[in-house]
Amino acid sequence: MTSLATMIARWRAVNWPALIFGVAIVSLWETLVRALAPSQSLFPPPSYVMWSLYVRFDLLMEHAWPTFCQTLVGFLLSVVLGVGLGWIISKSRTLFEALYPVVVVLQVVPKEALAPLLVLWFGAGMLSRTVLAFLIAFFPMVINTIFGVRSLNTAMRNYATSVLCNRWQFLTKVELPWASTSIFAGMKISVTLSVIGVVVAEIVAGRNGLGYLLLFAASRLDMGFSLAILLVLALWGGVLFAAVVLLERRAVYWRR
Amino acid sequence: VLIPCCVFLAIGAGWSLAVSAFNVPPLLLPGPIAVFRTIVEERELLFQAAASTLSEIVLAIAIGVVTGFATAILVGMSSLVRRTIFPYILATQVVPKVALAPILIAWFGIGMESRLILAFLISYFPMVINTLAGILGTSDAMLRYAQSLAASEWQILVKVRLPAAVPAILGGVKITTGVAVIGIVVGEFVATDSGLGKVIIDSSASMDTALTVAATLLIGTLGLALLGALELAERRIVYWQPGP
Repeated sequence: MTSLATMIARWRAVNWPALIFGVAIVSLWETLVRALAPSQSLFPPPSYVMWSLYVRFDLLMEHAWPTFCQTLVGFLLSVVLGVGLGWIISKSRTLFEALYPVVVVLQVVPKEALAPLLVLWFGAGMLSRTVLAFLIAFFPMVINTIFGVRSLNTAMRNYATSVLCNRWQFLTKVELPWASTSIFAGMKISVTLSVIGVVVAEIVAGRNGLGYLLLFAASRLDMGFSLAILLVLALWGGVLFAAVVLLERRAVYWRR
Repeated sequence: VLIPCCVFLAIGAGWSLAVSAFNVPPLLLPGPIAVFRTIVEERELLFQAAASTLSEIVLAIAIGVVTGFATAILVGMSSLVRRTIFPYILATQVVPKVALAPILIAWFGIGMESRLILAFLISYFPMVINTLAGILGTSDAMLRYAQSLAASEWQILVKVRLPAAVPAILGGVKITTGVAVIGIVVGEFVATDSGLGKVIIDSSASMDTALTVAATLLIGTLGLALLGALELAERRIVYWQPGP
């Protein structure tokens, strides 16, 4: 009986309109393209995209690994250094007044434009892409950390002083938990940005990676494969985002 | 204001000193003076490219803001439409849409259309999400007050929801502006037929690094100027909220 009840509950929880809409769009795309498009390679139906994904899976994975690794490294670097710098800036009034406007300005500058210069400085390999991913993802982390740490109220600060907690305890038991919501919000922004950074660098100059493969496939007008690559990139973005959300649920367990 | 300016001056001075002290070859990184000289020498080329880039950016922002706003109003009116479409709109946020550049070029050629479509696709969704968050985030008290005065749905939208949503909508316009710049510039990197992106790609291919740096700095300045102008406009429009 309970299993039936949970089944019904799950059945009700499914967002049916959205599901139907998605299926309708995909089938409409499939039928329209099959009926009207002059070339399946240039205007591929969804089935052809999935077929390219299946047939060229090995090639895809070979190019996906570098992209996956570089986004991860760029993202993790931006989190570690961003939280570090954000914390340092928010601890000192002078540093805050001097550097916060600079950080805000740098956050606004379109760093994607740096891609060709980074390729010139660091070569067309891994380093330039990781650096671009890091640069794009870094500033939202700094700003969100500063925002989180500075939002700590005086009552909490006084309480922490009154129970004689030392600097390390203050950092790990008061400041970081307090700032965690804001830091995780920054991570959700940064994680998507790091994928964008790597892909832009790969498109501008590269010998491997999904961005390079995409440019190559699109220049051969193999749009089925191009869309399959885009799908993999989108899934990777989704996986990273979901990982951050799961991590947040684990870490910020008290704010369910 | 004074201290941050000093920091930027210090960065410039450090750049200049480092280049002359370590004898960095100008092929790798020219000093700020060399870059400035290039800007003056190549002013016609740079000015034309910047004008082309800027006009495309402004066009992309206009399209993104108008369509995003209209979509949000339509989606906000009906909870069924919202439930149907919103999950997909949210899902687009994790898709690296700049990767569409090569695909769009294959479909629409290396002209302005591809870049505008790319910038539109990047800037449309944040605008929808922000506007929607604004008009749906109206406080219950305000809504009930309006209903108690027998306001129609339309009146509630125009007189209650939209004014309350102005800060969120302006936030959306700012995001749209930032990403439209990225969309156009990345589009120019891939579809190199005009604009500052083309100047950057061409000059880096011919190892004219001073020109590359100059064009990159110009793009940064363009982005900053657009957002600075929006910031000023925001303070005028949302006068009831204190500045940061």
